[in-house]
Amino acid sequence: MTTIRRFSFGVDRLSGLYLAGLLIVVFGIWIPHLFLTTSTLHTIADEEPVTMMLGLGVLIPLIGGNFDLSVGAVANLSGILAVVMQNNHHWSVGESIALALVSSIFIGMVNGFLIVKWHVNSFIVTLGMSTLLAALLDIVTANSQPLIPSSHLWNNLATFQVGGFEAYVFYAFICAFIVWWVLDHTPFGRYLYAIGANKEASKLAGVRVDRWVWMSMVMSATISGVAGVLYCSASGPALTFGPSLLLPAFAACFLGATQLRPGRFNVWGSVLAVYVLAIGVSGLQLVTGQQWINEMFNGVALIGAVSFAVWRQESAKKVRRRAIDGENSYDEELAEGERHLLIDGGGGPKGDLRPPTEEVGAGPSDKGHYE
Amino acid sequence: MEIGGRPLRLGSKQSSYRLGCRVIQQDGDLISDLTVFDNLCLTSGYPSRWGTVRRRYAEALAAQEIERLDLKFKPSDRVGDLTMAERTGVALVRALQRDERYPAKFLILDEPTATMPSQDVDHLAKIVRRVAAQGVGVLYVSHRLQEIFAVADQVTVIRDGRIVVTSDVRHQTERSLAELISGHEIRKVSVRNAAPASEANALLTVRKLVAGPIREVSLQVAAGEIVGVVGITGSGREALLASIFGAAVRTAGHVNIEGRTLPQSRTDLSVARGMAFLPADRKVHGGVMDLSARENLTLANLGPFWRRGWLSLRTERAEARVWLERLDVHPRDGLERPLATFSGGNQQKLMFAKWLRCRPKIFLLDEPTQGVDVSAKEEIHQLILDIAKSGSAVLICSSDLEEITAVCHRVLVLHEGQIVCEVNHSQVSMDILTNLVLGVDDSMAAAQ
Repeated sequence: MTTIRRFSFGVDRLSGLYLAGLLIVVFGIWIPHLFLTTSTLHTIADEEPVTMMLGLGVLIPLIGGNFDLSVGAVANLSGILAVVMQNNHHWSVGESIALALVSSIFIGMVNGFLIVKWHVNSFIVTLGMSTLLAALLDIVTANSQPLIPSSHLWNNLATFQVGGFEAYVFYAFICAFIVWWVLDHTPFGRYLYAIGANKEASKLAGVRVDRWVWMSMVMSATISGVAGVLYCSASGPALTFGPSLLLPAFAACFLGATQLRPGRFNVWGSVLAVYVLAIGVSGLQLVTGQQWINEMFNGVALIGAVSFAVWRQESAKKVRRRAIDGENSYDEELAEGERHLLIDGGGGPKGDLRPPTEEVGAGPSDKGHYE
Repeated sequence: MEIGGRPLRLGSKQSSYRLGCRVIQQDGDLISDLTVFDNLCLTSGYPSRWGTVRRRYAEALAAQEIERLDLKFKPSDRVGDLTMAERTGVALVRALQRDERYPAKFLILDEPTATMPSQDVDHLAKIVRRVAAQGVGVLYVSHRLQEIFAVADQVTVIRDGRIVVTSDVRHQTERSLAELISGHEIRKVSVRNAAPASEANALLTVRKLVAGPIREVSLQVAAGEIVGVVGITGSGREALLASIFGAAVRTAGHVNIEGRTLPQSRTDLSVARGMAFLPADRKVHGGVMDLSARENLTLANLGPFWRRGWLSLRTERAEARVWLERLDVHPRDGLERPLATFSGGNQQKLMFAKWLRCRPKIFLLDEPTQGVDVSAKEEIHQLILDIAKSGSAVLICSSDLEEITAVCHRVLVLHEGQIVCEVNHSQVSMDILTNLVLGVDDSMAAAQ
């Protein structure tokens, strides 16, 4: 392990940064007058905050081993709700945002309840929930796009300029910072990683699995709610923006899991992934002027990056295995009888006929799950 | 190795299949949601015409195979609905399916009765004899001595990975076999002296516990006492500690810690009230293999590092390092390495460290040295003695009788979900335990 890392210049952990650097150099040489400008920088930064926030929303349950497919729908409903309350009921900006967030939290609680108490698969719960929310959205808006509220505060909430950047870039980073704190520096985050890696063992260590899983669903919905409000404030109350952001959000998480701490979903990895993609996309768009480049680049990058990470892991494992076999100086002739005992004695998992190394540990247990 | 005079290529399932060798694993590895028919066909292939499964033909074929062994279930039965003996029957039918090219010549059964009630065992013995009568060699591995006499012609005793004796069954008695299995040397016993537990000074009291295979168990463990629980696989030994801890559902009974009742399925409360549980299967239940040693070590109690809204990595690392040092975990600088990269013994030490940090009053240890090398085993035994000396109560379930003999003050023998006898410290010895566990009657009388 260590030897690989020493000679790889962090290729495994920082491939995203290298790729970003490469993209900047390539586009910088190719189209310097278009690419190397502050306006490009601002475009790149301004394009992604909502994707990033939804990515963070997806990230939290994902760490605990649950999918939240309802983030897009929650964001959409929350944003529209805030707009509709202002337009039709003359609520103030603060009140309507508060209502939007409270309903998001409520949706998160319902998701969590179904997953934890009724043991329904999170995939199904949130898929159903997002369909249900789409219906609610229709009811709330009577299926016509609401007008943009006239409030000055509302319209500038996300888009007032700070140093050339739109404000919601900063909101997104503040959000990332908070999520990072929660995941990396609180017991909650620690429990969540443990639950995601081995729910049963976490429970046996006294971790309150149900409570933390539930909480992760609530946090995910809350962040999505905030993202939805910001999106509607910045880009207008569109009726279908949410679901189209769902896949990019997941892509950011999976890409992020190949970065910084490979093999683990992590906040800054996801943020890095979002921006590497943004750089690539905007550069290619400047070169080609084509719309489809966006989707194509995202798809290729996701598959490519994850394949690369898997390949690196496999090869690292292979090297480690070889090293262990070497250490044990496994002698074919001498150990023939012994090996048969080992195989029949059930040293390794079923179907694995390698001589059990230390890595393999205890034999298969005849014990079922405790539930 | 040779089968039927032809060399067996080691490590190749296919080679052993072609030579006519069939293996039935302990749990039969059947898919319980599928029907018997589907389970059979997954191995032999579905007979088909133009790519369409010839269902009726195949079911008739399966029914024939089942009949050949004189079994009672139908091909359309769901495997999950069958009894344990019937499931083993399915596994047998599957293993012995007619195969023109590579006929079955040799059958291995690995503890087929481990999780089987006794009436089913007789039935299985009959089936196995019938198989043998059809000209198939059978290698039958078992804990239960009665079965050997019901099934076998020849018996081989293995101890510590070596063959002790191979002889005709007729020359052996249950008694003599038990002696051969345990070996004669009685180990030096290292601990003694404990106040026998009574209701009054018991730290842990279990009253009339019923859970899964456990039919009714009551026991007490006092402070400073190490109590062992032994029993064959299927006696309820594997389920006992999980249900005491609250990880498995209890259908009846109470568990008290110092007089306070422990609620159902609240492992967090069990931990908070001073209970620690080391499950038998480190990989699945014990440790979180993908997390680092440090994270595993501190998972059960993060409180001390949580200061002013921030987990202090520095104090956490410092404390983890101390534990690695104290329990002599190798590699010493492996704090941030995933738990999976440690050897079995070191993983187990880390699991001990995880609980020792919490200073529990009651330790529940399930197979504490399973998959652990010899030297680590010694260290872990010493650790268990130290834990008891410091005033904690320890309850150990183990299939390793030597281990039980070495560390326990008192031993309870579990049989079909009930405690059938108790051996106290002056009588604990390998011989007696082996006999008791294997159910040889006269020594039961001797112990009581």
